[in-house]
Amino acid sequence: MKRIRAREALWRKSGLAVVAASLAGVLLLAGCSSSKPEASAGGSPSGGQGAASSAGASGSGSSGSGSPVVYHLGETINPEQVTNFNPFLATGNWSNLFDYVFDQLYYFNPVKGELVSRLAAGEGAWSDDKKTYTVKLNMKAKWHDGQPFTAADVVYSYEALKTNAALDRYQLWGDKRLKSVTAQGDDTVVFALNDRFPSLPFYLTTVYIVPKHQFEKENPAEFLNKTPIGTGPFQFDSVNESAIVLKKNPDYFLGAPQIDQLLIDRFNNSSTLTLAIEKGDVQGSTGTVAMPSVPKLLENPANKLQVYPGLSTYAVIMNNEKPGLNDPAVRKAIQLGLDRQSLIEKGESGGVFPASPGFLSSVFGDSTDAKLLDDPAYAYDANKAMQTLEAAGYKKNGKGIYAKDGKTLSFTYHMAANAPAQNKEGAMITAWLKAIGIETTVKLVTWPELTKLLMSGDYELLQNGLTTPPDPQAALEVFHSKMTAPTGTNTPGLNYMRFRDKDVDAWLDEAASADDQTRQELYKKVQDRIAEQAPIAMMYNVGGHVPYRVDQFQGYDENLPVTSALSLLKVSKK
Amino acid sequence: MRYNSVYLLNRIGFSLVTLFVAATLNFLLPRLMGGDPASALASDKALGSQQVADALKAQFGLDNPSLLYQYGQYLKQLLHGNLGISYANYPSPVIDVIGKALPWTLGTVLTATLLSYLVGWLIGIRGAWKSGSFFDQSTLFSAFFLNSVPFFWIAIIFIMIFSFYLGWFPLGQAVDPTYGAMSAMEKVRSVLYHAILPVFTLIIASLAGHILVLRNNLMRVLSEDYMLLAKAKGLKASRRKYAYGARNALLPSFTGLMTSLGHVIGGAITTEIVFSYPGVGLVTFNAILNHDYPLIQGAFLCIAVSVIVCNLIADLLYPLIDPRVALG
Repeated sequence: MKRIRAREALWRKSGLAVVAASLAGVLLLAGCSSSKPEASAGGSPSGGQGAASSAGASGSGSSGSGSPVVYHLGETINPEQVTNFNPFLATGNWSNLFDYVFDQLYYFNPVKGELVSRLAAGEGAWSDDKKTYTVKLNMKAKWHDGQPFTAADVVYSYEALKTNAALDRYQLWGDKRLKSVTAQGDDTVVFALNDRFPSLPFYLTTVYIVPKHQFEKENPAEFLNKTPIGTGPFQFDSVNESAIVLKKNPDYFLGAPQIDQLLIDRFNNSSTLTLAIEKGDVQGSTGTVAMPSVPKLLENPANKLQVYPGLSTYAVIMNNEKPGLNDPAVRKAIQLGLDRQSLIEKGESGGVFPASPGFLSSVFGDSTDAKLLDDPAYAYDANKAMQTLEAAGYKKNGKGIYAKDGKTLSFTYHMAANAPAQNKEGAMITAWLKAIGIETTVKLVTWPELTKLLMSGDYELLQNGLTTPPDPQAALEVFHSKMTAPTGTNTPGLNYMRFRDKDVDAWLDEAASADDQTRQELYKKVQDRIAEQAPIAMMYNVGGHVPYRVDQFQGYDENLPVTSALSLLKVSKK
Repeated sequence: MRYNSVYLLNRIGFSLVTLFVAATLNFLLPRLMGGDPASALASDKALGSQQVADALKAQFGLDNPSLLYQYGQYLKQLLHGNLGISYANYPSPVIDVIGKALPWTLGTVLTATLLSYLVGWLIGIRGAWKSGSFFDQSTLFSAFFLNSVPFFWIAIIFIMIFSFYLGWFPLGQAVDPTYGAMSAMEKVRSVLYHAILPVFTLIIASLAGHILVLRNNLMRVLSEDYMLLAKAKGLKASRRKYAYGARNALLPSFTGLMTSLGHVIGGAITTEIVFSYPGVGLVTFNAILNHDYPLIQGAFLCIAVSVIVCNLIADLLYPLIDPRVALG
């Protein structure tokens, strides 16, 4: 009896403790919920009421010499993207940040497909033999910590790629490319080459210049750079669980920004980010938006969407070595069987660009063979697709699938799992292929696995994107036979198609060191051959689709990505 | 003495064996996914360059392809308390990545788990005691409805109603974007303010199960003979309800609570994603997508250890609550 009572007491005591602890929790929550109106009145934009909140935040903010102008930019930035701020590293950071904090020598403007000087003072000069490129620097630039910027910083940044192979993502120090990078005085850098490499200026856009005085004390391949020091228009202030906080660099050499604080609000998913734009909590993103919400978003005239072409092309990638797909007629039929316009309108809500059957993105301006885009010879035509197959000797079997010499046109079709838009488009494509008598078996795998399959060649049809450097030569070299390997061996480059064409190789080799005029002619030849041989069936080109609001801020430069550093420089509060 | 040493040793030994098996599975499972992280990274960031892939492989310690060798290294590092370097966060150590996310998860998921059990139990007890009443019928109906609705759906609906249309709460995130410039008091307020909706969602979404289990158990206990005897003896209703009825009915739910506590450390993936909340669930989810073996291993090991420890605690506490166990 006594024991029972003791146990009861224990139970009651522990029960009480749980109740007390939970009550404390409830009180805490209740306490802060009642303090909520206060919090938003104190200028918390994310807690405010609708679109008025940000205006209220900066309008009714602290007294004194005018409240600071705060610009909220939203992005999907996951925890693993803020573990370092080292622009050399491919992992652990959100690379768009570097555009605001650092500068390259040149910036590649995807809207116009041209180079814009950042740390370089205008275009560089080629030597007569085209084997040295000399760049004058903009000496008005200086580091955020006040130290002077010199040619030594540029040399250091390029040398860091040479000494750390894993950092040299674009292989600037590859065989026929850079021989040395040297300083000539404080204001000039000389790039010496092993061979002609006319694309060099494009590659200079891929390297952010870091301060030698900070980096030389560290190992650039492992440095976390928790407080980055750049030359860029915005200075790093701090990072927290919800935002990366930048403030304006009043001494920026291309002119000081007119916004005082650039807050990059971190979201984990594009849907909430899109809601935040619609609500006015953030003014835009650098290119993330939930595509299905775009029509709704644009109903409000305060919201705009900037769309420009880019360096990623989504396509049905075909392994040209697999039986059936080694026949150009079959690949051609697949190319003709894809309704690219529907993919753009229904799959991507108009947020992407048409892709040229010749592969080269329209971002490359004059190098792109523009006429291919509208050429009816490559337009969607299911009947023509079937005629092409019949002309090549294929006959429909009992199930309505084409076959020739015992080979039925039945292929595996790989695409990414957990990618709703991709899966919707994949369903459209496989239905179109069925309609022209080509059967597919869909297989869903993870994104990294897609890459593995592409590299090894262990696939037949595979839906994925190919991203190239900002250089037409490199983009077209995706189809060079030196970039491929037989099925079963990993490819050394992006020629996952296992496409081999002697003419294409020769034209590209010649173009690598030719003058501009000749290069463009050669590129057109290559593009025409790609369109004709159809080693890959294009879907669309993905560059930027940037949502932004125009009700509170003005001055966006639409000739640039509107939320890029150079455009935000000009943006001011209405 | 409530414990006997055989029972104790048995439980602890069993936990250690489970831990070893978990650690081994933990090593093997991510490697069965297919696709190697270095090549994927090189293809993603370096145009599929083989040189870069090789350099990355060396960096990640994947250049020795023998699984046995990798396993040996893994166990060795584990015994030193070293969870390795995350690939996707390279060069940040796994322990830092998890450590940064852990407080957010503990704060929300732990609070929500405790509150949800407490509220669920109280509702379940009341429902069973007055079974058939309007209260019982309406909570039962709501519980069946909520039990069949996924977490993320409730989260999305709550965001639309409370954050977007009513504007009472933020759309997500853990703190105000200007957190760094705030005073300590404002910081606390900011954290709590942002945590309310995720915690509320988690409570609502997990409440139903606890109500149903406890209600059914208590109904069963209430029909036992000793309850009738207690009533016949003239014991107070509250005593019969809590000390005789609920206490016995809680035994299975107590195991459920301890298991849930063990899983707290794993976070709440869907809720964290919808609310842009920086917890462990999201980190683990992204680690899987990125083929980040060390981070996946680290996260799963933490979950495994926490589940095993909570189970051990449950096993050790059980004799205190239910004397039949230890002596059996």
